[in-house]
Amino acid sequence: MQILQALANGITEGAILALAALGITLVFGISRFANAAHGDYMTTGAYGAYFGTGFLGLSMPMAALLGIVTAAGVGLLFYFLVFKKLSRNSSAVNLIVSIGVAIFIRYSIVLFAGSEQYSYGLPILRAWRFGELRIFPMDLFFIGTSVISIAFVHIILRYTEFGRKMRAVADNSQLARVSGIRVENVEVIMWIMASALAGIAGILIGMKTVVDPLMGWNMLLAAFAAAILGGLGSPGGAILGGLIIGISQEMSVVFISETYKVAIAFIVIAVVLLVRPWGLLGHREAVR
Amino acid sequence: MSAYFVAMFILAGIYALLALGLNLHWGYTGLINFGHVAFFAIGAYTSALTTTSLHWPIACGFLAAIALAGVSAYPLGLVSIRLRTDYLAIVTLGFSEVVRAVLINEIWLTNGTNGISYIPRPLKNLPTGTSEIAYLGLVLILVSGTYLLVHRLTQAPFGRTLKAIRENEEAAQSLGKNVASFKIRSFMIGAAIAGAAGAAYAHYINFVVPDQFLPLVTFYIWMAVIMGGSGSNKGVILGTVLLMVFLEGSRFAKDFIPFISDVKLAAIRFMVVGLSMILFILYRPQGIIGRKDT
Repeated sequence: MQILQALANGITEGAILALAALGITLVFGISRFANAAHGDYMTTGAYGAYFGTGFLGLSMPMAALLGIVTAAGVGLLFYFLVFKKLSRNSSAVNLIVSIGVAIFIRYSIVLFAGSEQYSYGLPILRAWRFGELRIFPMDLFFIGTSVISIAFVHIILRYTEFGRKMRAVADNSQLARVSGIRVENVEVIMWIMASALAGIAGILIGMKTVVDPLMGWNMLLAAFAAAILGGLGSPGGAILGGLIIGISQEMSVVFISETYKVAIAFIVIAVVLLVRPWGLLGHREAVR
Repeated sequence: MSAYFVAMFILAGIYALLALGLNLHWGYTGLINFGHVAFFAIGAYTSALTTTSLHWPIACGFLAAIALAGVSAYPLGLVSIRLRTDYLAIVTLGFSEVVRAVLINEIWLTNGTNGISYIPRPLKNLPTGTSEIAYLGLVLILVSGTYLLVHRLTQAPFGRTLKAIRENEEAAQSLGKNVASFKIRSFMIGAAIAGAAGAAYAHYINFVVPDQFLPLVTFYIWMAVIMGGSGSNKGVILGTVLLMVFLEGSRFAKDFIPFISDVKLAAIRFMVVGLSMILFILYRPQGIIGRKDT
């Protein structure tokens, strides 16, 4: 029964992780570096929504919208101010600078909002009981939000003009450029999408637990693990990776210990990278 | 006041050791190590445990710290051969978080979050004040010794090969250099230096707890290396000194800016750290006195 409960928790956790990993994978696919500030874009979204409920007195859906817009705005801002200027540099340089961005955002939040925890003050719904298994109605909401957001991204990537351009840039940006695709525009829209996804993920975590300055950073490693496991640059892989990492983390709580949760993400990353560096659904060529 | 400066210079010396190790990884070999604090922690805990629980002499604990930190880098070195640099960054960051999880969890060994206290300090019997200055002397000897060693290493064919790997791995490989072995050795030597820094830290502070080894420490060192100039040993020492002056100096900002809480002041300090990483990479990627050929 405990295992079934952990499975249920893991699916919720995995659905949120998948959203985070999808954003990381989009950035990797187009701008070609692992963005360590992604976790802090998540935090930004959560705080944007808290600003909506706590200060402006907005309803939760409106506040969430504000949070998503804030995250997308911050992501876009740092693209223009930092990453765009470094687009000719190596992925290593971009990754290092993204750490600087991450630290700057995190402590800007601490400066303005303090380091205490906040909650959205949502009504607490009773769990449904199936024998000993307890499922919170909110968990279904988290999974549903994640599925809808991912499906939305999938439709854009697969069935729109923009999606075709984006896949072309991800495949070979120079070829895309000479074919007349404005790579800069594709990057701008990609950053908006990726940061908005981060915002959604951050708000969901805030609803599930609490809002605090370290929430996104603490999830970054697991999100990276999910993205790498699925194959960096592969949206489908991000979802699969998120679920596998989420479930195995919750299982580890049952069988090992809560504090070793972080170790699961690490072991998965290390093993995948050594055995199958292009991930479960990624392309072999994507890795050097 | 002079006691305060002595303390500051001891910490600066310890940070300088960490920076010299990281510079060997990133500045010379081009390996992104986001988990440097793990080797620092392993060194600190090794020396702390061997000198308290096992009652080893401090010198032996110190050597054990260097050895264990170096050896613990071996598996990561193996991993680094097969990974792109940005994947290695994520793996090393994960490694440092796992090391911290072990320090928190394995209470039988590390005493968990309570940490280890009463770690002996060498030259403790000297009168108060003199004992700190003597310790500063030891740290300075350690830093200069390490500086000379790293300087020698990086001038030697070994260092030139590392730079070749950094610039073009395939070219180094095709010239018959065993890239894997060089990378592993660079990783292990840099980690061993961080282990020495850990031991020096543990015996100075006299207690260790897992919270002293957060990933933020790693990024302080990164900032020192980037600011001073990656690939220049003099540069990273300068970077460390500037970092310490900034970190400590900003404590006095409280006297000049009224109505600012400690939390806000600390937040501003971290914001400056993040911002200067961004600005240096954007506008002066070679650092203050780094190599020109970046």
